[in-house]
Amino acid sequence: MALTAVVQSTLGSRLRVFGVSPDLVLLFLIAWVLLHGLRGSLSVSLVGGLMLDALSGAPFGLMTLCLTLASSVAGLGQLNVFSSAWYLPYLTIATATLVFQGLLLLFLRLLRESTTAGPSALWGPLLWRVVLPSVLINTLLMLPVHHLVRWLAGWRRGESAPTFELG
Amino acid sequence: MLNPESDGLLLRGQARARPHGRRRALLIIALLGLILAWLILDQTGGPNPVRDVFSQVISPVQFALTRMMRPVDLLIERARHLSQVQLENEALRQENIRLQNQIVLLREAQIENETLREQLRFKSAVPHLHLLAAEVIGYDPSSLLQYLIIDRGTADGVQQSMPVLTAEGLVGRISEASLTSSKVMLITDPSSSVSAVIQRSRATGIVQGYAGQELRMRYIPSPQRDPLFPAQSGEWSQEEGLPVMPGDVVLTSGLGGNFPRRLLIGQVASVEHRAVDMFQEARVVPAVNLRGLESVMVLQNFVPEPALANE
Repeated sequence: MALTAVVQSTLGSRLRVFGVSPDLVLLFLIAWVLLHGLRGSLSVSLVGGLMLDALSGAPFGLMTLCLTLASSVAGLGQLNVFSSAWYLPYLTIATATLVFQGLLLLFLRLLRESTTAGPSALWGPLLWRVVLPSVLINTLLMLPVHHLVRWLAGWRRGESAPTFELG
Repeated sequence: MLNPESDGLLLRGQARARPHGRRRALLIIALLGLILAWLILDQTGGPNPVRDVFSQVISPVQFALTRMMRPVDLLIERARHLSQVQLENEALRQENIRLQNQIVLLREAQIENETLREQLRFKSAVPHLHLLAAEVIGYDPSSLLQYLIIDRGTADGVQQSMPVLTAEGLVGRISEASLTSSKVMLITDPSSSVSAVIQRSRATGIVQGYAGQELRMRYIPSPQRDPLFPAQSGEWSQEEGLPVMPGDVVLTSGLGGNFPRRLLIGQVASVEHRAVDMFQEARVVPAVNLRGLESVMVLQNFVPEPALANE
Protein backbone atom coordinates (compact mmCIF):
# COMPACT_ATOMS: atom_id res chain seq x y z
CA MET A 1 0.00 0.00 0.00
CA ALA A 2 2.93 2.28 0.80
CA LEU A 3 4.39 1.57 -2.62
CA THR A 4 1.03 2.28 -4.25
CA ALA A 5 0.92 5.68 -2.53
CA VAL A 6 4.43 6.51 -3.78
CA VAL A 7 3.49 5.42 -7.32
CA GLN A 8 0.34 7.53 -7.14
CA SER A 9 2.35 10.57 -6.10
CA THR A 10 5.24 10.09 -8.51
CA LEU A 11 3.50 8.77 -11.61
CA GLY A 12 -0.03 10.00 -10.97
CA SER A 13 0.52 13.22 -12.88
CA ARG A 14 1.57 11.20 -15.93
CA LEU A 15 -1.55 9.02 -15.77
CA ARG A 16 -4.05 11.85 -16.02
CA VAL A 17 -7.33 11.14 -17.79
CA PHE A 18 -10.00 13.87 -18.07
CA GLY A 19 -7.65 16.08 -16.01
CA VAL A 20 -7.57 13.75 -13.01
CA SER A 21 -5.30 10.94 -11.96
CA PRO A 22 -6.66 7.64 -10.57
CA ASP A 23 -6.82 7.15 -6.79
CA LEU A 24 -4.69 4.02 -6.78
CA VAL A 25 -4.54 3.73 -2.98
CA LEU A 26 -8.33 3.98 -2.71
CA LEU A 27 -8.76 1.43 -5.51
CA PHE A 28 -6.46 -1.13 -3.90
CA LEU A 29 -7.96 -0.52 -0.47
CA ILE A 30 -11.54 -1.05 -1.66
CA ALA A 31 -10.56 -4.20 -3.55
CA TRP A 32 -8.89 -5.42 -0.35
CA VAL A 33 -11.96 -4.62 1.75
CA LEU A 34 -14.21 -6.51 -0.66
CA LEU A 35 -11.94 -9.52 -0.32
CA HIS A 36 -11.05 -9.49 3.37
CA GLY A 37 -13.80 -7.47 4.98
CA LEU A 38 -13.54 -4.22 6.89
CA ARG A 39 -11.86 -5.66 9.97
CA GLY A 40 -9.08 -7.25 7.97
CA SER A 41 -8.45 -4.02 6.08
CA LEU A 42 -8.10 -1.47 8.85
CA SER A 43 -4.33 -1.76 9.04
CA VAL A 44 -4.11 -1.46 5.24
CA SER A 45 -6.33 1.61 5.37
CA LEU A 46 -4.17 3.15 8.07
CA VAL A 47 -0.89 2.56 6.21
CA GLY A 48 -2.33 3.86 2.93
CA GLY A 49 -3.83 6.91 4.59
CA LEU A 50 -0.66 7.82 6.45
CA MET A 51 1.39 7.49 3.29
CA LEU A 52 -1.03 9.75 1.43
CA ASP A 53 -0.89 12.24 4.28
CA ALA A 54 2.89 12.26 4.13
CA LEU A 55 2.84 12.98 0.40
CA SER A 56 -0.08 15.38 0.29
CA GLY A 57 -0.41 19.06 0.99
CA ALA A 58 -3.64 18.45 2.93
CA PRO A 59 -3.60 18.82 6.73
CA PHE A 60 -1.95 15.75 8.25
CA GLY A 61 -4.41 13.01 9.16
CA LEU A 62 -7.14 14.16 6.79
CA MET A 63 -6.38 11.57 4.12
CA THR A 64 -6.30 8.76 6.71
CA LEU A 65 -9.64 9.86 8.10
CA CYS A 66 -11.32 10.14 4.69
CA LEU A 67 -9.83 6.87 3.49
CA THR A 68 -10.98 4.98 6.59
CA LEU A 69 -14.50 6.38 6.30
CA ALA A 70 -14.63 5.51 2.60
CA SER A 71 -13.44 1.97 3.32
CA SER A 72 -16.18 1.66 5.96
CA VAL A 73 -18.74 2.35 3.25
CA ALA A 74 -17.12 -0.37 1.16
CA GLY A 75 -17.29 -2.69 4.18
CA LEU A 76 -21.04 -2.14 4.38
CA GLY A 77 -21.32 -3.05 0.74
CA GLN A 78 -19.45 -6.27 1.36
CA LEU A 79 -21.76 -7.28 4.19
CA ASN A 80 -25.11 -6.89 2.46
CA VAL A 81 -27.14 -9.41 0.50
CA PHE A 82 -25.72 -8.22 -2.83
CA SER A 83 -22.19 -9.18 -1.84
CA SER A 84 -22.00 -11.77 -4.62
CA ALA A 85 -23.32 -9.47 -7.33
CA TRP A 86 -20.90 -8.88 -10.22
CA TYR A 87 -21.44 -5.13 -10.12
CA LEU A 88 -20.62 -4.80 -6.41
CA PRO A 89 -16.93 -3.80 -6.90
CA TYR A 90 -17.90 -1.07 -9.37
CA LEU A 91 -20.78 0.24 -7.28
CA THR A 92 -18.60 0.18 -4.18
CA ILE A 93 -15.66 2.04 -5.72
CA ALA A 94 -17.98 4.65 -7.23
CA THR A 95 -19.61 5.24 -3.84
CA ALA A 96 -16.30 5.12 -1.99
CA THR A 97 -14.75 7.67 -4.40
CA LEU A 98 -17.73 9.99 -3.92
CA VAL A 99 -17.46 9.62 -0.14
CA PHE A 100 -13.66 10.03 -0.12
CA GLN A 101 -13.56 13.09 -2.36
CA GLY A 102 -16.70 14.60 -0.83
CA LEU A 103 -15.35 14.31 2.69
CA LEU A 104 -11.98 15.66 1.59
CA LEU A 105 -13.67 18.67 0.01
CA LEU A 106 -15.84 19.23 3.06
CA PHE A 107 -12.97 19.04 5.55
CA LEU A 108 -10.73 21.18 3.37
CA ARG A 109 -13.42 23.81 3.25
CA LEU A 110 -13.91 23.69 7.02
CA LEU A 111 -10.20 23.76 7.79
CA ARG A 112 -9.13 26.30 5.20
CA GLU A 113 -12.06 28.65 4.92
CA SER A 114 -10.30 31.31 6.91
CA THR A 115 -7.35 31.27 4.56
CA THR A 116 -9.24 31.09 1.29
CA ALA A 117 -11.02 33.88 -0.44
CA GLY A 118 -13.97 31.83 -1.62
CA PRO A 119 -13.80 28.05 -1.49
CA SER A 120 -17.58 27.65 -1.42
CA ALA A 121 -17.75 29.05 -4.92
CA LEU A 122 -15.61 26.14 -6.12
CA TRP A 123 -17.90 23.34 -4.98
CA GLY A 124 -19.67 23.11 -8.31
CA PRO A 125 -16.60 23.23 -10.57
CA LEU A 126 -14.67 20.86 -8.32
CA LEU A 127 -17.54 18.40 -8.36
CA TRP A 128 -17.84 18.49 -12.15
CA ARG A 129 -14.20 18.71 -13.03
CA VAL A 130 -12.56 16.58 -10.35
CA VAL A 131 -14.95 14.41 -8.34
CA LEU A 132 -17.11 13.00 -11.13
CA PRO A 133 -14.20 12.28 -13.52
CA SER A 134 -12.46 10.57 -10.59
CA VAL A 135 -15.54 8.40 -9.99
CA LEU A 136 -15.54 7.42 -13.65
CA ILE A 137 -11.81 6.67 -13.84
CA ASN A 138 -11.77 4.69 -10.59
CA THR A 139 -14.82 2.66 -11.64
CA LEU A 140 -13.20 1.79 -14.95
CA LEU A 141 -9.94 0.82 -13.25
CA MET A 142 -11.71 -1.37 -10.70
CA LEU A 143 -11.82 -4.33 -13.08
CA PRO A 144 -8.02 -4.81 -13.41
CA VAL A 145 -7.32 -3.76 -9.81
CA HIS A 146 -9.92 -6.09 -8.30
CA HIS A 147 -8.61 -8.92 -10.43
CA LEU A 148 -5.01 -8.15 -9.44
CA VAL A 149 -5.81 -7.99 -5.72
CA ARG A 150 -7.68 -11.30 -5.89
CA TRP A 151 -4.76 -12.87 -7.69
CA LEU A 152 -2.30 -11.44 -5.14
CA ALA A 153 -4.42 -12.75 -2.26
CA GLY A 154 -4.47 -16.22 -3.83
CA TRP A 155 -0.75 -16.11 -4.50
CA ARG A 156 -0.09 -15.07 -0.90
CA ARG A 157 -2.04 -18.05 0.36
CA GLY A 158 -0.15 -20.26 -2.05
CA GLU A 159 -3.23 -21.07 -4.08
CA SER A 160 -3.81 -20.69 -7.75
CA ALA A 161 -5.39 -17.47 -8.87
CA PRO A 162 -9.13 -17.47 -8.29
CA THR A 163 -11.31 -17.07 -11.33
CA PHE A 164 -12.99 -13.76 -11.87
CA GLU A 165 -16.69 -14.10 -12.37
CA LEU A 166 -18.42 -11.44 -14.32
CA GLY A 167 -21.91 -12.77 -13.94
CA MET B 1 70.67 -64.30 -85.34
CA LEU B 2 68.10 -62.38 -87.10
CA ASN B 3 64.69 -63.68 -87.52
CA PRO B 4 63.81 -62.63 -90.99
CA GLU B 5 60.12 -62.92 -90.42
CA SER B 6 59.97 -60.93 -87.36
CA ASP B 7 62.58 -58.45 -88.58
CA GLY B 8 60.64 -57.99 -91.75
CA LEU B 9 57.54 -57.16 -89.82
CA LEU B 10 59.39 -54.66 -87.69
CA LEU B 11 60.90 -52.91 -90.67
CA ARG B 12 57.55 -52.69 -92.32
CA GLY B 13 56.00 -51.28 -89.15
CA GLN B 14 58.82 -48.75 -88.83
CA ALA B 15 58.39 -47.79 -92.44
CA ARG B 16 54.70 -47.19 -91.77
CA ALA B 17 55.30 -45.30 -88.52
CA ARG B 18 57.94 -42.97 -89.94
CA PRO B 19 55.65 -40.83 -92.15
CA HIS B 20 53.26 -40.65 -89.20
CA GLY B 21 55.93 -39.32 -86.83
CA ARG B 22 57.23 -36.98 -89.45
CA ARG B 23 53.79 -35.60 -90.00
CA ARG B 24 53.31 -35.11 -86.30
CA ALA B 25 56.64 -33.38 -86.00
CA LEU B 26 55.75 -31.15 -88.89
CA LEU B 27 52.45 -30.36 -87.25
CA ILE B 28 54.14 -29.45 -83.99
CA ILE B 29 56.67 -27.30 -85.79
CA ALA B 30 53.83 -25.60 -87.70
CA LEU B 31 51.97 -24.98 -84.54
CA LEU B 32 55.02 -23.61 -82.81
CA GLY B 33 55.64 -21.43 -85.83
CA LEU B 34 52.10 -20.25 -85.73
CA ILE B 35 52.36 -19.43 -82.02
CA LEU B 36 55.64 -17.68 -82.66
CA ALA B 37 54.08 -15.69 -85.45
CA TRP B 38 51.12 -14.93 -83.23
CA LEU B 39 53.49 -13.81 -80.51
CA ILE B 40 55.44 -11.59 -82.89
CA LEU B 41 52.20 -10.24 -84.31
CA ASP B 42 50.93 -9.52 -80.84
CA GLN B 43 54.20 -7.85 -79.87
CA THR B 44 54.20 -5.60 -82.88
CA GLY B 45 50.87 -4.19 -81.71
CA GLY B 46 49.18 -4.75 -85.02
CA PRO B 47 45.77 -6.30 -85.49
CA ASN B 48 45.44 -9.85 -84.31
CA PRO B 49 42.59 -11.39 -86.26
CA VAL B 50 42.80 -14.73 -84.52
CA ARG B 51 42.38 -13.19 -81.14
CA ASP B 52 39.58 -11.03 -82.41
CA VAL B 53 37.70 -13.97 -83.80
CA PHE B 54 38.38 -15.94 -80.67
CA SER B 55 37.22 -13.24 -78.35
CA GLN B 56 34.12 -12.59 -80.44
CA VAL B 57 33.10 -16.20 -80.08
CA ILE B 58 34.07 -16.60 -76.44
CA SER B 59 32.88 -13.31 -74.99
CA PRO B 60 29.11 -13.96 -75.18
CA VAL B 61 29.59 -17.39 -73.76
CA GLN B 62 31.69 -15.97 -70.95
CA PHE B 63 29.13 -13.26 -70.34
CA ALA B 64 26.24 -15.73 -70.22
CA LEU B 65 28.16 -18.06 -67.97
CA THR B 66 29.14 -15.26 -65.65
CA ARG B 67 25.56 -14.04 -65.42
CA MET B 68 24.35 -17.54 -64.77
CA MET B 69 26.92 -18.16 -62.11
CA ARG B 70 26.44 -14.89 -60.28
CA PRO B 71 23.43 -16.04 -58.16
CA VAL B 72 25.16 -19.31 -57.54
CA ASP B 73 28.26 -17.43 -56.43
CA LEU B 74 26.13 -15.30 -54.21
CA LEU B 75 24.47 -18.32 -52.67
CA ILE B 76 27.79 -19.97 -52.08
CA GLU B 77 29.15 -16.78 -50.61
CA ARG B 78 26.14 -16.41 -48.38
CA ALA B 79 26.29 -19.96 -47.22
CA ARG B 80 29.97 -19.52 -46.49
CA HIS B 81 29.35 -16.37 -44.44
CA LEU B 82 26.04 -17.33 -42.87
CA SER B 83 27.38 -18.00 -39.43
CA GLN B 84 29.55 -14.92 -39.65
CA VAL B 85 26.54 -12.84 -40.73
CA GLN B 86 24.49 -14.17 -37.84
CA LEU B 87 27.20 -13.18 -35.42
CA GLU B 88 27.51 -9.78 -37.06
CA ASN B 89 23.73 -9.38 -36.94
CA GLU B 90 23.63 -10.12 -33.25
CA ALA B 91 26.50 -7.71 -32.64
CA LEU B 92 24.73 -5.01 -34.66
CA ARG B 93 21.48 -5.60 -32.78
CA GLN B 94 23.28 -5.17 -29.49
CA GLU B 95 24.97 -2.06 -30.85
CA ASN B 96 21.59 -0.74 -31.99
CA ILE B 97 20.10 -1.23 -28.52
CA ARG B 98 23.10 0.45 -26.96
CA LEU B 99 22.86 3.39 -29.36
CA GLN B 100 19.11 3.72 -28.80
CA ASN B 101 19.70 3.90 -25.06
CA GLN B 102 22.44 6.43 -25.65
CA ILE B 103 20.09 8.54 -27.79
CA VAL B 104 17.47 8.50 -25.02
CA LEU B 105 20.07 9.52 -22.44
CA LEU B 106 21.44 12.23 -24.72
CA ARG B 107 17.94 13.59 -25.33
CA GLU B 108 17.34 13.67 -21.60
CA ALA B 109 20.68 15.40 -21.09
CA GLN B 110 19.81 17.88 -23.83
CA ILE B 111 16.46 18.70 -22.23
CA GLU B 112 18.11 19.04 -18.83
CA ASN B 113 20.82 21.18 -20.38
CA GLU B 114 18.26 23.46 -22.02
CA THR B 115 16.31 23.79 -18.76
CA LEU B 116 19.46 24.60 -16.81
CA ARG B 117 20.59 27.09 -19.46
CA GLU B 118 17.20 28.76 -19.28
CA GLN B 119 17.43 28.92 -15.50
CA LEU B 120 20.95 30.29 -15.74
CA ARG B 121 19.86 32.95 -18.24
CA PHE B 122 17.00 33.86 -15.93
CA LYS B 123 19.36 34.02 -12.95
CA SER B 124 21.73 36.28 -14.88
CA ALA B 125 18.85 38.49 -15.95
CA VAL B 126 17.70 38.98 -12.36
CA PRO B 127 20.89 39.03 -10.28
CA HIS B 128 19.08 40.58 -7.33
CA LEU B 129 17.02 37.40 -6.89
CA HIS B 130 18.71 34.62 -4.95
CA LEU B 131 17.37 31.48 -6.60
CA LEU B 132 17.84 27.88 -5.55
CA ALA B 133 17.28 25.22 -8.21
CA ALA B 134 15.18 22.22 -7.16
CA GLU B 135 13.94 19.04 -8.81
CA VAL B 136 10.27 18.07 -8.71
CA ILE B 137 10.08 14.61 -7.12
CA GLY B 138 6.34 14.18 -6.71
CA TYR B 139 2.85 15.57 -7.02
CA ASP B 140 -0.03 15.59 -4.58
CA PRO B 141 -1.74 12.19 -4.72
CA SER B 142 -5.18 13.82 -4.59
CA SER B 143 -6.66 15.46 -7.68
CA LEU B 144 -8.43 17.96 -5.42
CA LEU B 145 -5.18 19.49 -4.24
CA GLN B 146 -2.47 21.09 -6.35
CA TYR B 147 0.86 20.56 -4.63
CA LEU B 148 4.38 19.62 -5.68
CA ILE B 149 7.13 17.95 -3.71
CA ILE B 150 10.66 19.23 -4.38
CA ASP B 151 14.02 17.81 -3.35
CA ARG B 152 15.13 20.83 -1.31
CA GLY B 153 14.38 21.42 2.33
CA THR B 154 15.43 23.41 5.37
CA ALA B 155 18.93 21.94 5.04
CA ASP B 156 19.25 23.97 1.81
CA GLY B 157 17.80 27.11 3.37
CA VAL B 158 14.25 26.63 2.17
CA GLN B 159 11.62 28.18 4.42
CA GLN B 160 7.85 28.22 4.53
CA SER B 161 6.13 30.80 2.29
CA MET B 162 9.13 31.30 -0.02
CA PRO B 163 7.98 31.90 -3.60
CA VAL B 164 8.68 29.19 -6.16
CA LEU B 165 9.09 30.02 -9.84
CA THR B 166 10.57 28.99 -13.16
CA ALA B 167 12.00 31.13 -15.95
CA GLU B 168 8.47 31.20 -17.44
CA GLY B 169 6.78 32.59 -14.35
CA LEU B 170 5.31 32.00 -10.91
CA VAL B 171 4.68 28.43 -9.76
CA GLY B 172 3.54 28.80 -6.15
CA ARG B 173 4.98 29.02 -2.68
CA ILE B 174 6.49 26.68 -0.11
CA SER B 175 3.70 25.42 2.13
CA GLU B 176 5.73 22.98 4.19
CA ALA B 177 9.48 22.50 4.49
CA SER B 178 11.13 19.45 6.00
CA LEU B 179 14.86 18.76 6.23
CA THR B 180 15.42 17.39 2.72
CA SER B 181 12.19 18.08 0.85
CA SER B 182 9.42 20.65 0.68
CA LYS B 183 5.83 20.87 -0.46
CA VAL B 184 4.87 23.64 -2.84
CA MET B 185 1.33 24.92 -3.05
CA LEU B 186 0.75 25.68 -6.73
CA ILE B 187 -1.01 28.87 -7.73
CA THR B 188 -3.72 26.64 -9.23
CA ASP B 189 -4.64 25.12 -5.86
CA PRO B 190 -8.14 26.28 -4.81
CA SER B 191 -6.63 27.58 -1.54
CA SER B 192 -4.05 29.76 -3.29
CA SER B 193 -4.55 33.46 -3.86
CA VAL B 194 -2.05 35.96 -5.24
CA SER B 195 -2.38 39.74 -5.50
CA ALA B 196 -2.08 40.58 -9.16
CA VAL B 197 -2.03 43.45 -11.60
CA ILE B 198 -2.93 43.66 -15.29
CA GLN B 199 0.24 44.93 -16.96
CA ARG B 200 -1.50 47.06 -19.60
CA SER B 201 -4.17 48.82 -17.54
CA ARG B 202 -2.63 48.48 -14.03
CA ALA B 203 -5.98 47.17 -12.81
CA THR B 204 -5.53 45.08 -9.70
CA GLY B 205 -7.24 41.92 -8.53
CA ILE B 206 -6.64 38.58 -6.88
CA VAL B 207 -5.62 35.50 -8.82
CA GLN B 208 -7.07 32.35 -7.28
CA GLY B 209 -6.74 28.67 -8.05
CA TYR B 210 -9.72 27.11 -9.74
CA ALA B 211 -10.90 23.56 -10.37
CA GLY B 212 -9.16 21.79 -13.22
CA GLN B 213 -5.78 23.52 -12.82
CA GLU B 214 -7.07 26.87 -13.95
CA LEU B 215 -6.74 30.38 -12.58
CA ARG B 216 -9.34 33.06 -12.04
CA MET B 217 -8.54 36.71 -11.49
CA ARG B 218 -11.26 38.19 -9.32
CA TYR B 219 -12.14 41.56 -7.87
CA ILE B 220 -11.08 43.51 -10.94
CA PRO B 221 -12.87 46.87 -10.78
CA SER B 222 -15.71 47.07 -13.25
CA PRO B 223 -15.34 49.57 -16.13
CA GLN B 224 -18.96 50.68 -16.15
CA ARG B 225 -19.63 54.32 -15.38
CA ASP B 226 -22.19 55.55 -12.95
CA PRO B 227 -24.59 57.74 -15.00
CA LEU B 228 -25.23 59.97 -11.97
CA PHE B 229 -21.59 60.60 -11.15
CA PRO B 230 -19.67 60.21 -14.36
CA ALA B 231 -16.67 62.16 -13.15
CA GLN B 232 -16.11 60.02 -10.07
CA SER B 233 -16.92 56.60 -11.41
CA GLY B 234 -14.78 54.39 -13.55
CA GLU B 235 -11.05 54.81 -13.79
CA TRP B 236 -10.77 53.94 -17.46
CA SER B 237 -11.98 55.92 -20.44
CA GLN B 238 -12.86 54.24 -23.75
CA GLU B 239 -9.59 55.51 -25.23
CA GLU B 240 -7.56 53.82 -22.57
CA GLY B 241 -9.48 50.63 -23.13
CA LEU B 242 -11.09 48.26 -20.68
CA PRO B 243 -9.34 47.30 -17.43
CA VAL B 244 -9.02 43.71 -18.56
CA MET B 245 -9.14 42.17 -22.00
CA PRO B 246 -8.26 38.76 -23.43
CA GLY B 247 -4.53 38.57 -24.06
CA ASP B 248 -3.59 40.85 -21.17
CA VAL B 249 -0.51 39.86 -19.20
CA VAL B 250 -1.05 39.27 -15.48
CA LEU B 251 1.79 39.98 -13.03
CA THR B 252 2.17 39.82 -9.27
CA SER B 253 1.38 43.20 -7.73
CA GLY B 254 3.39 42.72 -4.55
CA LEU B 255 0.42 43.84 -2.47
CA GLY B 256 0.06 41.87 0.73
CA GLY B 257 3.76 41.10 0.79
CA ASN B 258 3.46 37.42 -0.09
CA PHE B 259 5.19 37.62 -3.45
CA PRO B 260 7.67 40.04 -4.97
CA ARG B 261 6.39 42.42 -7.62
CA ARG B 262 6.38 41.84 -11.37
CA LEU B 263 6.53 38.05 -11.49
CA LEU B 264 4.65 36.70 -14.47
CA ILE B 265 1.51 34.77 -13.52
CA GLY B 266 -0.16 34.23 -16.87
CA GLN B 267 -2.33 35.63 -19.60
CA VAL B 268 -6.03 36.50 -19.64
CA ALA B 269 -7.97 34.01 -21.77
CA SER B 270 -11.48 35.37 -21.33
CA VAL B 271 -13.39 37.94 -19.28
CA GLU B 272 -16.68 37.44 -17.48
CA HIS B 273 -18.71 40.48 -16.73
CA ARG B 274 -22.34 41.13 -15.98
CA ALA B 275 -23.82 44.60 -15.91
CA VAL B 276 -24.88 44.21 -12.28
CA ASP B 277 -21.47 43.10 -11.04
CA MET B 278 -19.21 45.48 -9.19
CA PHE B 279 -16.17 43.50 -10.18
CA GLN B 280 -15.05 41.64 -13.22
CA GLU B 281 -13.65 38.15 -13.33
CA ALA B 282 -11.12 36.83 -15.83
CA ARG B 283 -9.99 33.34 -16.71
CA VAL B 284 -6.19 33.29 -16.66
CA VAL B 285 -3.98 30.70 -18.31
CA PRO B 286 -0.86 30.08 -16.19
CA ALA B 287 2.42 31.07 -17.85
CA VAL B 288 4.02 27.89 -16.55
CA ASN B 289 2.87 24.44 -17.61
CA LEU B 290 2.29 23.22 -14.08
CA ARG B 291 1.46 19.66 -15.12
CA GLY B 292 4.81 18.89 -16.69
CA LEU B 293 7.19 20.58 -14.28
CA GLU B 294 10.51 18.84 -13.73
CA SER B 295 12.54 21.55 -12.05
CA VAL B 296 11.77 24.83 -10.31
CA MET B 297 13.59 27.62 -8.47
CA VAL B 298 13.00 28.74 -4.91
CA LEU B 299 13.36 32.46 -4.33
CA GLN B 300 15.40 32.55 -1.14
CA ASN B 301 16.01 36.26 -0.58
CA PHE B 302 12.39 37.24 -0.44
CA VAL B 303 10.88 37.16 3.02
CA PRO B 304 7.09 37.33 3.03
CA GLU B 305 5.60 39.67 5.59
CA PRO B 306 4.74 37.38 8.52
CA ALA B 307 1.53 39.12 9.45
CA LEU B 308 0.20 38.75 5.94
CA ALA B 309 1.73 35.41 5.10
CA ASN B 310 -1.68 33.93 4.53
CA GLU B 311 -3.81 36.12 2.35
